[in-house]
Amino acid sequence: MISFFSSYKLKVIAAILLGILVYFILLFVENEFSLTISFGEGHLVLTAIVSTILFFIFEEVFSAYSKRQSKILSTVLDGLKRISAGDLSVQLPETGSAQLKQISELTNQIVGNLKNDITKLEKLESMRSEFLANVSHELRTPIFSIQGFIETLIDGAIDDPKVNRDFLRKAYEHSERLNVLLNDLIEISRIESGEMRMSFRYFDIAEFLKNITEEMKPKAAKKFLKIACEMDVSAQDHHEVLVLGDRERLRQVFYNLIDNYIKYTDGDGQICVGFTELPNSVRVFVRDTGCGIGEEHIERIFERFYRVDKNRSRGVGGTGLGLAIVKHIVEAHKSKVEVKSELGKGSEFSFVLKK
Amino acid sequence: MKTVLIVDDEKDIVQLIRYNLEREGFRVESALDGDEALKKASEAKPDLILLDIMLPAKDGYEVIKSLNQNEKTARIPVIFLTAKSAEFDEVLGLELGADDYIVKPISPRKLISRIRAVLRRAEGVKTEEGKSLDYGKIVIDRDSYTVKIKDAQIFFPRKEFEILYYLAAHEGKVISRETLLSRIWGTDVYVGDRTIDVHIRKIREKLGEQAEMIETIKGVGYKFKAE
Repeated sequence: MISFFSSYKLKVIAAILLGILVYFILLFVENEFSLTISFGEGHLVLTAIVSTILFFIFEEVFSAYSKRQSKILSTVLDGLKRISAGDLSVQLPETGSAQLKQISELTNQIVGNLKNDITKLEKLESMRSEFLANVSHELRTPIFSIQGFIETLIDGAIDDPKVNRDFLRKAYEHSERLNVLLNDLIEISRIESGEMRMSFRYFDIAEFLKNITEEMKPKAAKKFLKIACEMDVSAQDHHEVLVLGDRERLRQVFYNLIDNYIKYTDGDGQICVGFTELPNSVRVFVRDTGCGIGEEHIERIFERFYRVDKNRSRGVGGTGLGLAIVKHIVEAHKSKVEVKSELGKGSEFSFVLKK
Repeated sequence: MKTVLIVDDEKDIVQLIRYNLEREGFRVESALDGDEALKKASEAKPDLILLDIMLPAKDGYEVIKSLNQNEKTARIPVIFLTAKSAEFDEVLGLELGADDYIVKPISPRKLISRIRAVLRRAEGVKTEEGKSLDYGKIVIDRDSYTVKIKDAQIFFPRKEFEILYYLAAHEGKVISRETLLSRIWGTDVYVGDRTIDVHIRKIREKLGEQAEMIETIKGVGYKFKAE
């Protein structure tokens, strides 16, 4: 139909033929049924001319509409071809007939979702590669030490009484460090994959914190640091303050927080572990007089392998995973670690446990 | 007796390398951070520096930059010994003028052989024939590691100087990148073409108006033109 009327001459001929046809139909109707449709022959001609003009107008409008639809369709088709070739920057025109518009809208929506998924995957992939790079980096130093000391011993140092025991001890210490790192890695991957099993029980927080403090005292004493326990008044009256939590996991939280402080504090310093009772909960805290954390780092310290002083942490034996583990465990208790810190003065890590 | 300066913040690693080097007849100095490394480098004037990258105070990259800017220390060969294994770090280390880039872990025996290789190359460069090259506009003096352009003395870090000297000593000849790599870094170290190009760019910057003396021969290498 469209191709038939594409030539202008053909359109004129078609219009004249239509006009003649209308004229004869009107004439036939008038004669056959003795009706008075027009007011004479002249009017019949006029009617035919008017219908011819109307035909022209209709044909032009129809043709313009068809052309527009066809243009939109071809843009949509081009766009779909580009999408199938992997170009996701394409945005299909959401115009045209209702169905065409719906197709474009749905396609744009699918492409948008796909783009979001790809961005998420890319982010995950980059996190994965970064994690692998970090792990490989963390493993290299202890492995170098273990291999190096053992090879040196094999190469003759085993007969050198000045160093043989020392080298063996150091190889052993580095293998321990490797073990800590591997355990942390297993722990974090277990937590992040949702495989961490929690065992919630009520226990006495005051007793728990006292035990932790006693446990950590020898480690702190090696660096001449003090650990103190600061209990809420209620606990000083010897009544139990029960909280709901996973004792073993929370032990790890406090171990990591206190251990961090011991690692990064040189010289005089004190750490205070304690709690404050609230109406339906208890806020537990680890407060220290250490070096403090710069404001710009506080947001990021719970990320895996994030280091405040990139060049120092390794020297003190940090795995870069301690605080990430703390964050996950506290979150599993439906709580959040809050950090207050001032450079040169110290830090406070605290979170709430349900009573 | 050759002196090696070990720079690492892990005391155990310093002790391990020190023991092995001393057993092989080297004299050893050590530093635990970047600042101490710079101080020891200019005081003890070691024959080679074994440099970690992740260091307190100044990291290894900053240390090598500072070493290159100081005339007293710019000629000391540097080997990076680090746990950073990314290609990006290695390329950066070599572009900054290191003689070798070694990723931990490495066997102490292999480490010593790499140290010896760098020392041999540095020694070889010193004894090569031709002390001073005088092309009128430019005078390149091997003894003092200085370059004079129109009587103005310009200081070049060691690797850049060696490249310029090698090109100038073969004036008019096209020197391929591969030749430069094996002459300047030796054959044991993997160095990409980009490292050479970065060094040439830095040399040209220092030559200023005379930069066109080093002509790039596309796809091949470089040529030094005296005129």
